[in-house]
Amino acid sequence: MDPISAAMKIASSGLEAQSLRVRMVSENIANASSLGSAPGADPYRRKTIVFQPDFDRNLGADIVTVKKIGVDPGEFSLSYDPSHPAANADGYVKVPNVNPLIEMTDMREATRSYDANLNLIEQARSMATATLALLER
Amino acid sequence: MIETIASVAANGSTTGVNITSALIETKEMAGPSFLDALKSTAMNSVQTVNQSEAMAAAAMHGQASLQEVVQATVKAEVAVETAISIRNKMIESYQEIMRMPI
Repeated sequence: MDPISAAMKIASSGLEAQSLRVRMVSENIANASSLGSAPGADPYRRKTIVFQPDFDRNLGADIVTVKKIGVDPGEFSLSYDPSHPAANADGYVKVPNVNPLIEMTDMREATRSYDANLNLIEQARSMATATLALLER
Repeated sequence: MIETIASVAANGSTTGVNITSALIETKEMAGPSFLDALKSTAMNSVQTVNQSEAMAAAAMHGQASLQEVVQATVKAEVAVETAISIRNKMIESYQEIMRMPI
């Protein structure tokens, strides 16, 4: 496969990986206040995403794929709310280990990376078009 | 879209035959000829456009991602541009030969 098409294909795998990352961030933000329903039950646990290079035989190059969507094993913090159904004997409820600041930073990073991959596709296309323009005098 | 490419391919090969037969009548070339190269390029373009259409159809059914569709479409666009440029260039050279005073 010619390198320009390969570059586009690789960049497109990057787009896909970053959009999955945005999906994961939105899951985390949407569930930032999803608590448990039984006394002492665990609330929503923050999700994490792991990327890995994957050798594509057709392209002869490494594309990026999602290795796994895991969970953040971090500690839950406690908030005092004795009336909540998930409150323990002392009246504390476990709240999700989601930090909005970290999620926002992650989202911005995903957006920048997405933009970079889009630019790459754009660049590859304009290189191909410019080369073809040689045929037209 | 596919018909266009197919006709490009058809035009390309007939022009190729005329040019080659006009220029060299009896000489046999070793290895893949220019015509073969042209044919395979045309076939590749047709295949690429077909793939892009299949991808668009899959996206309509929610089976392909936006990124895959855009990538396949851009690839098809480049393939069509290549086919058209080569076709134009070949017709140009054919006309150039036809204008030659005999």
